[in-house]
Amino acid sequence: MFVTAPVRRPASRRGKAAAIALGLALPVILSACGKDDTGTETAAKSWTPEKDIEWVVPYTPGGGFDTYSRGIAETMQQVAMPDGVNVVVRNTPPLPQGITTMYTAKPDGYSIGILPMPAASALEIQDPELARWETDKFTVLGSVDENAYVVYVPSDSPFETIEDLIAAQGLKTVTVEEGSSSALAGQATIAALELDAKVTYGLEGSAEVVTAMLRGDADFIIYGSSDLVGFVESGDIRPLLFLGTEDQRPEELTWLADTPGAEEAGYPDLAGAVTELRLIVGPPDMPEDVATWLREAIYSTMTSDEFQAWATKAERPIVPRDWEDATTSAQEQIAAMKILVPSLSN
Amino acid sequence: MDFFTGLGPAIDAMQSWTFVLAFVLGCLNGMLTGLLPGLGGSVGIALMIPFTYGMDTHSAMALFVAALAGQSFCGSVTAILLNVPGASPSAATTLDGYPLARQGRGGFALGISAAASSLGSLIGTICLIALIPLVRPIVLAFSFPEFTMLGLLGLTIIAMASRGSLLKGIVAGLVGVLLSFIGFAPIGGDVRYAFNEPSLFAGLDVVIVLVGMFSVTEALQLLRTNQSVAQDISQARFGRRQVWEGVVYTVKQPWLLIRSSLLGAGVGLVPAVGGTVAAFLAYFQAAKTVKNPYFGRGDPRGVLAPEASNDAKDSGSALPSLAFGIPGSSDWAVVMGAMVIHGITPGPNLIRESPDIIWIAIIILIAASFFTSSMGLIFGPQLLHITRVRPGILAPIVLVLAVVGAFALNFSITDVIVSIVFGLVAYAMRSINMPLIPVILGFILGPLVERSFLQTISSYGGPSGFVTRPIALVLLILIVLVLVFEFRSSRRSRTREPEALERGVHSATRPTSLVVMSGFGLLATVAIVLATDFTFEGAQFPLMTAGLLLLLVVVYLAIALVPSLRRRFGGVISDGGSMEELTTQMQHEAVDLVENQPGSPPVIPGSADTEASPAATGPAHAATVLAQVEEDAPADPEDRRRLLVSLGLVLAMLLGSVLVGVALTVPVLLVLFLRLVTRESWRTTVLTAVLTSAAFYLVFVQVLGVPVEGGSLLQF
Repeated sequence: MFVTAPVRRPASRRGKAAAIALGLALPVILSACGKDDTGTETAAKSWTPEKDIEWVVPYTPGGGFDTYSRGIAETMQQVAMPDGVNVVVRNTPPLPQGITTMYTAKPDGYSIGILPMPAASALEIQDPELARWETDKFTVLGSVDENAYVVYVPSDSPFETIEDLIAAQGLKTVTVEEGSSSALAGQATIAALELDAKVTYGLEGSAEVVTAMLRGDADFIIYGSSDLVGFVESGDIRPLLFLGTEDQRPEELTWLADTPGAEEAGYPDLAGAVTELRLIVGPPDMPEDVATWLREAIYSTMTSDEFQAWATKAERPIVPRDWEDATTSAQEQIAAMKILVPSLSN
Repeated sequence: MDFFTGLGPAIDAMQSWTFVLAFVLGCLNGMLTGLLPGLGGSVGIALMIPFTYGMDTHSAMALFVAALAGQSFCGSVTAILLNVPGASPSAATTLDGYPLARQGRGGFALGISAAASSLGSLIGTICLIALIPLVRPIVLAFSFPEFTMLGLLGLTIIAMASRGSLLKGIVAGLVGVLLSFIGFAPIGGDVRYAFNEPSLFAGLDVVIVLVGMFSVTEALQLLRTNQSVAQDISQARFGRRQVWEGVVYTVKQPWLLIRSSLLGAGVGLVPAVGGTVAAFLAYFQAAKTVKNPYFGRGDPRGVLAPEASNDAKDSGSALPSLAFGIPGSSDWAVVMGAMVIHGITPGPNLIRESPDIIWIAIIILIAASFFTSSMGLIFGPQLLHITRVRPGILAPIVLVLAVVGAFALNFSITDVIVSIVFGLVAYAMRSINMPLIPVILGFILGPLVERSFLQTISSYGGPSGFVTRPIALVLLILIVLVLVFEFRSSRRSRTREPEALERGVHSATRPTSLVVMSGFGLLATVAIVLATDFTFEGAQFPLMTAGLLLLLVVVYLAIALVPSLRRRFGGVISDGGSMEELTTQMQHEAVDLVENQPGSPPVIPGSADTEASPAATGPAHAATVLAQVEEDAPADPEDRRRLLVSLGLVLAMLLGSVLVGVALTVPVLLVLFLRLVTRESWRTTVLTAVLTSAAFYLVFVQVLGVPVEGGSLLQF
């Protein structure tokens, strides 16, 4: 039983935002109705949000998932939301609790969130007691970014190529908590390249991981391509191997252009084996009309000029996908995890 | 761009009305969240993020940094006046701040707090500017072994904070450490002691624990004794002059101020250690250098040191946050997230590419601290009247504020339950002379020590990292020295009069003491049994902590129950090194309470003149000593009745919040408290309940958007 009164906002901004929202939302809704020929035309017309939509982020404020979520929430308010209705970001760490919150919410359209993949699926396989959700049951609304992993070393590292690293003995690396996508990417890479490396877990966030490497606690790290841009540009670290497929290589990141990919390095199975997907979801069994409105609103937000401008300002690459493409990617990841996770734990 | 050339653009950016408005809004946000228990600073800052979407980057930065810097002083206001710290660093301020308030010297303490906060911030910021070229080597010098040692050094404070009853202090500290293990293990993937309850997966929130422990115990204490906070309420002591005296006093202690600030800035510089350690280290460095036996019972220097240190820490933690993107504190983590949204990426490029942003952060840190401190000086005399409010009215308001504040943090009823349960446990601990501060220290530092210890073992393949790295080794030697010093000085103080010792032992062997200690023994046993299911890594620390806790409880009970052991080792479990004075004075207190009309200053028993601290806190000193004493049992049947009714109502509040939700429980319980405990008139009751509920509705529901409705019964 939540209070329905909208959170107070400065009057002038609210009015302006409302006008923009109304102007931009109408065509979206109309086009949504026009395009939909599956018999839900009348239903699609009937649902628009009448109160604030809560957007769950299963991590603390300040990280990648939080940043993207707030970027979408801000833009969505400008371009897709009706007058007086806001998207309110709520952080509910830790990961299993946050995902459970999203999974068990009422599928009325007023509670959606951002789901880290493949971590959600891997957790479900690894620890079913803790992960009380079925990843493929979520109502997929879209995805905002796909973040392939990269092997980084300090700039002054003796390792010039991935072969140097493979040949080395007694390596050390650090990563964030076990069960996260990054830790999974690390495990998969170490296993595939047969690196002689000891992993220390439990660091908090990308900056701590990089700092640990710079002070000598790690010889290399495996982290997302879009998470450590600042440290690459400052000359502290350099990429050694790109772990995504070639079509996952982000063009915006010019420093990554010459880094060899896993495929050309001779590890085609490793390429894209673990890629972070920032999936936007609602609870299972969301009514079609509600899902349709949210899918259209989110996709039109992510493909708007405003969001592109935000992404440039925040230095975050974006790979917006509509719900159908996002569902395909998610299903592929779920299938891949079913093979990868048991093989790693052996 | 050179770092110093950024100053010009920064100053240019500040000359706009939007910027000034954002700054003031940020300060107000910081002050509000600082004053409301439960709403830690990071929550307040996160709430502001959507408001800044349309703002320019510089103004948004002003708003966030002001909100961060503005809260520390306000957290101290409630710590001093009500013994309820707004945030964990302010817990150190309660140690001497609240006794001052009880002496009617709350204004003096507020003045010191305000002045020390802003000067500490200034000194910390000068450090920050000086250290910018060195930030890289400093941050990179601290690795897992050093984090472990810093955490352990923080834990040794427990030995110092135990005030004469070392064994009980260590037990309290271990209880804190054990409770911190609830939720995800940092390494090993276990979920420990969460009983399949998802809301416990993340562990207990320190703010919730803090609010429960301090608000509930203090409210119960006020209700039981039915004495207002300020004991010595002669009119002359109130007012602006007292606040100003505090400012003057602070300025006259330059060395303590500088020492404490440098300590705070230094601790802030190391990511992951945080403000609580900064405040407590400064407090105990002051305690060791001041050498006043009454330090801890109203010495103004005990307010000055943690306040200066806590504000200086904000500047210190700005460095790793801005220059490395590693949040120096949870508040900085949120500010950094907000900066990213505004297109500023904290990290190695920031100093080079946008030095103006760093300068804005630096200037706002000082300005916000000065602004909030000035507000404190202006409104301090008004705030002071809180300490004269009748406890029958004040205590229920403190209680419901704790409940609503706890709920507002995560909109979770589990938090309300945790907070109240902690309050009741803390009350039981207080009633057997067990110090509460070690629980908080253990709770905050336990996870840091566990995580970095296991990481050291993993990364170095064994404990070699602790002795092969120079900084870690120096810290290790420092820890050993502190412990040796503490044990020696506590042994020296134990050579007491046989009668005094006898009284201490008698107090420590009361049935209540034995029951509470047995309860902790049971807790430890359960913890050990449950830990057998954990992975090897996840079980190590819980087993060590619970094992040690169980051992100490068994030792305590053995000494207490076996007469021959009690004769030989009674000193080990005896209550308080200075308990003898307290007990004598306690007996006088009962007499005084009968002889004196309420409202007149109590007669000071004993040798008030010789006891007065060199800092001239006045003859009221002994009154504080009295106030600190926990009587064996409420002698007055009326005291006992008030306590029992209050305890019953606290339980009703717990049930009510769970069953019918916070919104209904708050007004009903307010009425019940006022009518049943201190039997206020209907007029006072209705007026207080209506005004308080309305104020809560305005702040929490209207301004902060907290959904207070709900409750498991009303959902159907």
